[in-house]
Amino acid sequence: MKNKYFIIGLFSTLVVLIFSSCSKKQSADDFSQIAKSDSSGQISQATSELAGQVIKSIPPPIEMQSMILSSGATYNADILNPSDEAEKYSTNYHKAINLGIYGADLAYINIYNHKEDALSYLNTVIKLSEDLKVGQFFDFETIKRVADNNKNLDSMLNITTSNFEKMNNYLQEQNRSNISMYMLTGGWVEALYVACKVGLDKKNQPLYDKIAEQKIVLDQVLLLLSCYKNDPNAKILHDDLHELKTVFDKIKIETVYAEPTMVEENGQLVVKDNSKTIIIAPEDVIKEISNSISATRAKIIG
Amino acid sequence: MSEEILKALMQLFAIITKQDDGVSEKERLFVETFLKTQLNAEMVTSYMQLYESFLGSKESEDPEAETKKKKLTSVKDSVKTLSICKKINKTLTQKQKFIVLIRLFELIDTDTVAESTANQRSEIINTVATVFNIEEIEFAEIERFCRTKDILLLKENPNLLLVANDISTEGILAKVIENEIDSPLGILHILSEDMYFLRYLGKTNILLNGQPVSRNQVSLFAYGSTIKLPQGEPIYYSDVHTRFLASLDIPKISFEAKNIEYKFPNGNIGLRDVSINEGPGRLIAIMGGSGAGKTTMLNVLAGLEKPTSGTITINNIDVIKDKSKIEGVIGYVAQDDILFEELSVFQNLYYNAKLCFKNYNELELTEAVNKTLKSLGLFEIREIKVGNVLNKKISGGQRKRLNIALELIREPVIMFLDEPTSGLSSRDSENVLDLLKELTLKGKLIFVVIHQPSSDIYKMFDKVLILDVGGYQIYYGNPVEAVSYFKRITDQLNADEGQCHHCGNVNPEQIFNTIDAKVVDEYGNTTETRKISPKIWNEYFTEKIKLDKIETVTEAPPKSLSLPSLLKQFLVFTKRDVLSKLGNTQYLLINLLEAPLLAFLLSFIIRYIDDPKGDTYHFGNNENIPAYLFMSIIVALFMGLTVSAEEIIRDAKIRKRETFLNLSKLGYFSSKICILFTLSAVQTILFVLIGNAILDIKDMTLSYWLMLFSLSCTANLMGLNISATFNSAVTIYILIPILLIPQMVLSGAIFSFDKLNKFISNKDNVPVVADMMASRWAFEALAVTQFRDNKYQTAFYQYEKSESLHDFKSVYWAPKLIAKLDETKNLLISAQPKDVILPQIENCKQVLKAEFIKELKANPELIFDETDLKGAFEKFDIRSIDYLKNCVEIMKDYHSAKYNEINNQKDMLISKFMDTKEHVDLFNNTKKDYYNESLADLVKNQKAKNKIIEYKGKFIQLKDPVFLDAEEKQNPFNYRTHLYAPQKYFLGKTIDTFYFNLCVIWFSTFVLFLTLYFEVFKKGLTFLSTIRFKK
Amino acid sequence: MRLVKKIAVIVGVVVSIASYAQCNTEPMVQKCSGKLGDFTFLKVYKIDKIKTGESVEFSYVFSGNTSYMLSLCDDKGTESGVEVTLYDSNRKLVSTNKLNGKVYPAITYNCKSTGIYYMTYSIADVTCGVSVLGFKK
Repeated sequence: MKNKYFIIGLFSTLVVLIFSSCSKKQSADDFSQIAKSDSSGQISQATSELAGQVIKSIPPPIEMQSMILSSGATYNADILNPSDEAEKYSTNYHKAINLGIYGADLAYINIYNHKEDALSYLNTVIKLSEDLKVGQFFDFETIKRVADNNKNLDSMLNITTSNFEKMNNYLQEQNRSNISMYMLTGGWVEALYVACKVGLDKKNQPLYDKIAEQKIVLDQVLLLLSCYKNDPNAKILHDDLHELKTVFDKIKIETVYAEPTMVEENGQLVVKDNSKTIIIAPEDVIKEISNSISATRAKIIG
Repeated sequence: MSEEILKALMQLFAIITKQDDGVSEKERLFVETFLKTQLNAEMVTSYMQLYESFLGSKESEDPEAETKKKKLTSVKDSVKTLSICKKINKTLTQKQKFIVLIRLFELIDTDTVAESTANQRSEIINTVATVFNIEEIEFAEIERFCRTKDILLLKENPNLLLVANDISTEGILAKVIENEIDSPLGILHILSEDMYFLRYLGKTNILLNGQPVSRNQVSLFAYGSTIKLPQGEPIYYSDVHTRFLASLDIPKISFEAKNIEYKFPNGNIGLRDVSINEGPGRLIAIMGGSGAGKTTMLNVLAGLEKPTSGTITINNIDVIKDKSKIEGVIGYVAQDDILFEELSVFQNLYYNAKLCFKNYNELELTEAVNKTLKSLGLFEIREIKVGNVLNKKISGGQRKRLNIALELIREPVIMFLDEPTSGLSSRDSENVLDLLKELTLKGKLIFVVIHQPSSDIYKMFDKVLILDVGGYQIYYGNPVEAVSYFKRITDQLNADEGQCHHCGNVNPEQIFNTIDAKVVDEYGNTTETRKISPKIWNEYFTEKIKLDKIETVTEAPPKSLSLPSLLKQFLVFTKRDVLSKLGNTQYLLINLLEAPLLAFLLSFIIRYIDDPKGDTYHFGNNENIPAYLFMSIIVALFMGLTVSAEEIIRDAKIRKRETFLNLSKLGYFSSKICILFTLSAVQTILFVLIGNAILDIKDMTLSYWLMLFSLSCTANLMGLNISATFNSAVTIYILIPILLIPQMVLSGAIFSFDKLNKFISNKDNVPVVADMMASRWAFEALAVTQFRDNKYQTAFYQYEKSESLHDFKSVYWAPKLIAKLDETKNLLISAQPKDVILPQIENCKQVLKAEFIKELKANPELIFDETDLKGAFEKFDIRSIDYLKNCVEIMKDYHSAKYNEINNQKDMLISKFMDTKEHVDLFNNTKKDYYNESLADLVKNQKAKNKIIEYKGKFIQLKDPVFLDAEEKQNPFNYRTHLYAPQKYFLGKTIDTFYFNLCVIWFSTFVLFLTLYFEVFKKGLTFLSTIRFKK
Repeated sequence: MRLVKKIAVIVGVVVSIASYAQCNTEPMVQKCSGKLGDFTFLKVYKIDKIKTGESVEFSYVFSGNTSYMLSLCDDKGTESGVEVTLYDSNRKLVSTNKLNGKVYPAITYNCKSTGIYYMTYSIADVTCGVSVLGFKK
């Protein structure tokens, strides 16, 4: 009966398929083996008082970003960290530091009011925040509403910045300051990087000055990183940024002191700073800074 | 007499009469007379000429040559005789040969001849007999019978029946029928051919089938023949026959139906006061017009329907009350076709036989089957598939005979056949009836419902029972007599002639015409009113015809059925069904190719590449995976249902018979289930292998298959249930979507359980309605298993679970508690009236207390001062609230710390993969290949707006259900919990979701098996329909 | 596990510490952010976990040619519950919001010299407060 042959043929195909599906376990086994192996790392230590202090002194990216618009540069998404790369960040360190970077990118996009990119970067930010269990600070609905509303450009920026701020505060309260540290560092690195790129492109002196000023912030960052000696990632960052410091040492910032004056204007207290700062930031040094920070950044974003 | 016999006879007559000095006048006269009784004038002349020609022109020979020739002729004649006989052997049947032999005896008796001639003649006849293969003993008997001058001389012959008046029984071995007759009438029984020959040497006018019997004749006494004596009682064939039967090994049975009345469920009367008495070895016809109640009668007699009043007993055993005692005694052949289309003629009969004959081995079975096939003329077509009515492979007549064969093979002692000849040619009909007749000759009692039989068939019956419209019994007796009976009542002509003289035909139509004769109106037109109503016929019947008395047998009736054991029955059912299915190419193709085709279609279409830049497919990024899980479930259910939906209904008629034979219901259902389960297993494995391969789902084949297979089995049983409940295939197929759609809606895949109508859904557990759907269990199990047990997640699950737990507590739960405490505080300082506030405060207290207790129980590391806590809850004032708030803060910090710890451990685990590029790639690729993001979002309830809600006095976690274990409940049987729970809590134990759900599905399968076995739905349906139609 | 044990030990201590009232800073942050006007939000400093008379110090790198505003809010809703004193990188006093007996709810600082600045916060007759920093070019 030809049906019998059909059945036999079917069964043999079945057997072959079953066997073939059983033999595909190679790479997965390697994975399991590594997963089960003993770990050699250590738990990050609790933060010290100093770290808690220093961490609050680091400025968010927005200060630097706000100068970019006035430099006359046009929006260029290529300099940013592509938002679809977020998948490849697996460890807390990578997630956090790149969250900081994406946060800075988001601020950049908000400044130029680029809505489509804003949404995709926002998504990435939210995804990484959720992975780090700080996703509750981004209410997607509200932000989308605001984003759709054209007028409130500033409030978009404000919301982003304040959300990050809340996030950082929360992390610090939760004894997860290391995450906060990565975020802040990442944000700062990205802001500096973008400023360098745009500044050098437009040969914008105010930007050069701003970049030069980061020397002081860098000291704070290095100080912060040194509080986490036992964290291997912090150590690597510290070493990289230390190299940057050597470049920054070529920049001279001098302050001429004069007493500040206080005035009441419209019921508000206004303090005028009468001191003066002289910044010597030659272009070639800026270029070096740019190279150094690019290299560091490249390592971070992978 | 056929032409062949006549020709042969002429030849033989010629040879015999040629001996001596040629044919004498007496002899010639004999031949002519003989021919005259058989043929009309023309034919007589032509045959006489033939005879003369055979005689040859011998008269004009000179004497010398004659003597020489005599010697020569004798030799020549012997040779000729031999050759004629051999020719005759080929053309005539054995029965016909006996007739020829007897005619030869008759011939030589007409004339006295010289001894030598007589010797020669004897020699010739001897030769004839030898060539005809007639046994010597029988030959001797026949010779004596034909040539004797006194029949009484043969009284020592047991094969003889004497009809005589007052015989002494001394030294008689022959059978005797006492009757008023002047000279004994002898009937010789030819054993080998079961024929009877009649000889009468008396002087009175005896009629055989209406024709007078002459002294010189030896007449053939055939089926249905009647001997009419001028003074005595008529002698019927069956009377004679049963006498001879009595000496054989016939079964002892008595069948008595007393005053049977039967009412249909709708109240109409089907049978009125019918009575039957029968013994073994009878062939009874049940006849009547349309709607007379013949089939009803048959069903009631066979015990298929219960009579409203009256009893039916077989050997004094009540057929209805003591059914078990007469198991295997009755055989019933319905009008319906109960063959397996895909099996051959042989196979149909073979498997049937296997179920009836426990102790036969293979050889015996095959022999029995072949024998039955041969006797019904089906042997040549035994290998041909039966086919169905639309696609016939064997003819309608052959089908009918095969249906009869199914019952015939076991030769039950009492048989009931419903119109076994309908649709058959007259030849086939005769064959069937011949077969039945043979059985009755062996002692069986056979009832046949028959419609418009031919004359020959009609005469074969021993008795005929005629019913009229409304179930009235209007005749019960000899068939040929029936004609006279009805004629007499209506005073017709020729009342005494039951059958036609010349042709021997009986016209049963006459009977029905008489019964049904309509009134003629004044214009000569027939009206619709009958002359005589059924009731009146019945009255005549009760008046004129008395029931024969028969001996009630008290021994147990012989059984011709030995049911094999349950296991054997199961094996036979299975083998039969498997062969049947294997023979159906269409069925095989569709059912076996359905699964891989659907799998291919489904998975091919939904396999897409997420990354616009890349061109590699990654399982992890395929957003269609949750939908694929859902669709697999639906496909499994669908396949399971469609495969089984028609199973039982197809076998409905066969089942009826098998129930009648008391074959095991359990065996039948078990075999069906076995086959369907096997089919489901094959279908689902094909589906899983192909679907999972195309979509690159790794390592989960066994889990998927187990779940889908179980689901398919449940669907199989659902299908079997509806197949057993409803009568038409159409209804069943309409039901399939009605069954499938709730499964789809309540599976949890399309509509979220907390977003359903409030009567159905609740926030904390899966609704009970959904728990009744097998799809819900399967979907949950597959989703959880796929998410949690894949290679990637196996390494991280415990960490993520822990993280989720602690994070939830600190980020959502603790703040909510605090909010509740603040709410309480506000209530405490509120200015609203006490009776409004107090219940609210109490409510808050209960909620908070419950949460505290739960929390402390779950986290034994959290230690608070018990007295302080208790005190706080008792007092429940502002200070207590503050105290409790502090406690919550502590808990919050605890959970944060815990979270950090676990998170760090997880991070370290991940860091292990970050040392080399290979490891990084390994990590990323493993994640992409094993961990599906969309599925993760689904089981973590990522899209939900609310992560925590207050419901029914407690806080319900809505976030990350896959990381939340089921709660311990007070009632150990309370298994209910939220969807995607990784473990269920039941009977005091935690059971992994996959296995728990699997058990639930098998449990439901088992329940459906019980409903199938006990026919719950069918009974329910019948119950419902009886309610509606009661008037 | 060590961390957890630490927590368990601290429990008793924290209970007493917790008598320091919990501070819900969220509404104050909202209010202070609103006070910024056209200054762009930068940072939030929470002044809690101290009693009246105690102070807490934060720092920030102010850039030249930028105006900064430090707005102050307290949980009682008064405009004078929080006091701040600003010092430059050499710890020289720059300003304070309590001037001539008047407590200003915000300081605007037109910075010309980049460097790290220190802010010392204290509270008066309130439970806690926040300070929101904004900038304007």
